[in-house]
Amino acid sequence: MPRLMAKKYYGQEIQKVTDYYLSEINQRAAALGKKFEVIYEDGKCTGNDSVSAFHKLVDVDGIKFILGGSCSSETLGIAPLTKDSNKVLVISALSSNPVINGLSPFTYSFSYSDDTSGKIIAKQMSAYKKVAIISEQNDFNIGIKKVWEDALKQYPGAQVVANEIFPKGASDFRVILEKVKKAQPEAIFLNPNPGVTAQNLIKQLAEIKDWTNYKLYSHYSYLAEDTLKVAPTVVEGMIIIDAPKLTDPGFLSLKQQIEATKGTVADLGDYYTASTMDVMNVVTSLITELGENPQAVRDALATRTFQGYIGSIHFGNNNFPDIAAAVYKVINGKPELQP
Amino acid sequence: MFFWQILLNSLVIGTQVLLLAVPLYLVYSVSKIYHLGLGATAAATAYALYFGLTNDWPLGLSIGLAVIVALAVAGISYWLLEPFARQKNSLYGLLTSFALGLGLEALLAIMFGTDGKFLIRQVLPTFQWGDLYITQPGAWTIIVGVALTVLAVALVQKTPWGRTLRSVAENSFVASSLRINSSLVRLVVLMGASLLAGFVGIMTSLNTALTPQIGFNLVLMAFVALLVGGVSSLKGTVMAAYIVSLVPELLVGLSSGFWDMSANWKMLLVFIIATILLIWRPNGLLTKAQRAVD
Repeated sequence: MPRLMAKKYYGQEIQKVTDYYLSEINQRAAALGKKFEVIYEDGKCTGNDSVSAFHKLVDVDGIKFILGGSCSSETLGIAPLTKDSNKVLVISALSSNPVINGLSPFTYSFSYSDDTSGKIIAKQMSAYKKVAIISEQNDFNIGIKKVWEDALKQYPGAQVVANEIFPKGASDFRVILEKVKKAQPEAIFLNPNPGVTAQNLIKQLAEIKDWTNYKLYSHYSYLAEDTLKVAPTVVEGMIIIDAPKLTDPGFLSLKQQIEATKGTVADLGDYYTASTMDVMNVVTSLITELGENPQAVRDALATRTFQGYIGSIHFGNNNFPDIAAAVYKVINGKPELQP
Repeated sequence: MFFWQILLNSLVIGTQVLLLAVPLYLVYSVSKIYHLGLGATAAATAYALYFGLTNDWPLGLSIGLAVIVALAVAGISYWLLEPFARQKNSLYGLLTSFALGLGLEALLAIMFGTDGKFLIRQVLPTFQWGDLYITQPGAWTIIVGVALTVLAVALVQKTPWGRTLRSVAENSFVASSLRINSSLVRLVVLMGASLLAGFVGIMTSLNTALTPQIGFNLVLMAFVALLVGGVSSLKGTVMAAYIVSLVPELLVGLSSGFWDMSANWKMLLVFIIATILLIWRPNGLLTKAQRAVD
């Protein structure tokens, strides 16, 4: 009986996917006389709240499998609590902060690691002499920022002329955008969380009409077409690094059905919609096979290879699957996969 | 030009704080209660407008709904806070107001979700003067905000209504003996304060994005401004509202090199400035020290 811990930020979209896909899983499980149930707890994308939610699920409800956190801050918060115990297995579909790797033998993520995307963004931006970064203060964005900064040191020709951080959930960026403008960067790495924060950032960037001589780079936060539509002229030509495009017709049809019945999952995007379903699929299959034994499920997860909507899933000695990154360019308002 | 642009952007934020500091001052004057729930009132009013607009209601009807929500929250605030105002129990009043704010924010989160919303999804229209620019909602915030503040100062200091308000603020028992209905004065002030808070909630949402917590930081800054400015001086509150919001914005905006400060420093700077000002002028920026009574 696995239970999911998620909510705020992308949590509402995760809930749509989970609610829809659970009925499919239970249809298969019914043939074996099983029924899986999901209970939601809100980690609010913070370490503190996720630890409270973890204790409630584990100590009060006796839960053994947690599908979460829904963002890196949550997973980083609860991973140490699983380290010396073989009683709870935590599997995230979304957390990408590289620090998660090696943190606990009982915490895994089906996301790609930001170690990959941060390095590729740095390499792409190394073609410029003056670069800038604007980051949100949370574990996902700070994690990828650190990778980017470290990777950029290999390219001495590229100098970071502006390095701005804004508080989590902030909504007025005009002052820091003016600071970045003054530094005259040739390329800017926009590094906010997805959703309204990402949209607000480009919206306010577009207000500065006399500043256009820069190239934009980002990640998953700007992959949703809804986000790109907010300021189409500014994002045209933006380079986005994310997981490879998912082309499995079965998945694309499933996602269409989810959106038709539950509403949009635009911020979650293709990859994380697929990884959310893959986590549910893999965990429930292993529980059906091995029983409600976190140690046995963990061992199987660490050693076997699974086929999911995100592709071949194999962890080896890592806590992330071996997923490559891909480069997209925004052309006519849409992110197009680059060769 | 860079300095003036930073100043212009900071002025918008300063005026947002000012527009919550003034109602906070007015409510405190007549009830001796710091009505921190005004932050959530701002958010609730903006969400009412959002609800109307997203359901394709005409603009007038949507604004009408926002006004009704602001007045309804004022009514609830009056019902909850009036007993504490009569008992002069400021602490319980503050706690009740704070709880009301948290409850309203939670209700908004349940009804509309915690993800942000846009009242205007597209890039905002701007006014441009050479290299300087300001968003239209930002410009209206400054213009209307300053006008309303001047009006509030004039009302309080130059009109019979202001004298009534000040008499209740001074001593509500004596005011009652002069047939002034203190409860009615408090209700009217709460309604005006909620409408002002609602206005700033809508303008802030137009200029950035709407979230259930949109009023929280503003009311916190407004509260600091009220303390720094002196709870008995409206002019001091006005001045302090701009000081506690403009100085951190300018310091962050103009900092560079070794002294570069990120936006994360803002709230820390607010409290450093507030602490310095409170040590320098403990009774408020424009308040004269009163002789202690043995």
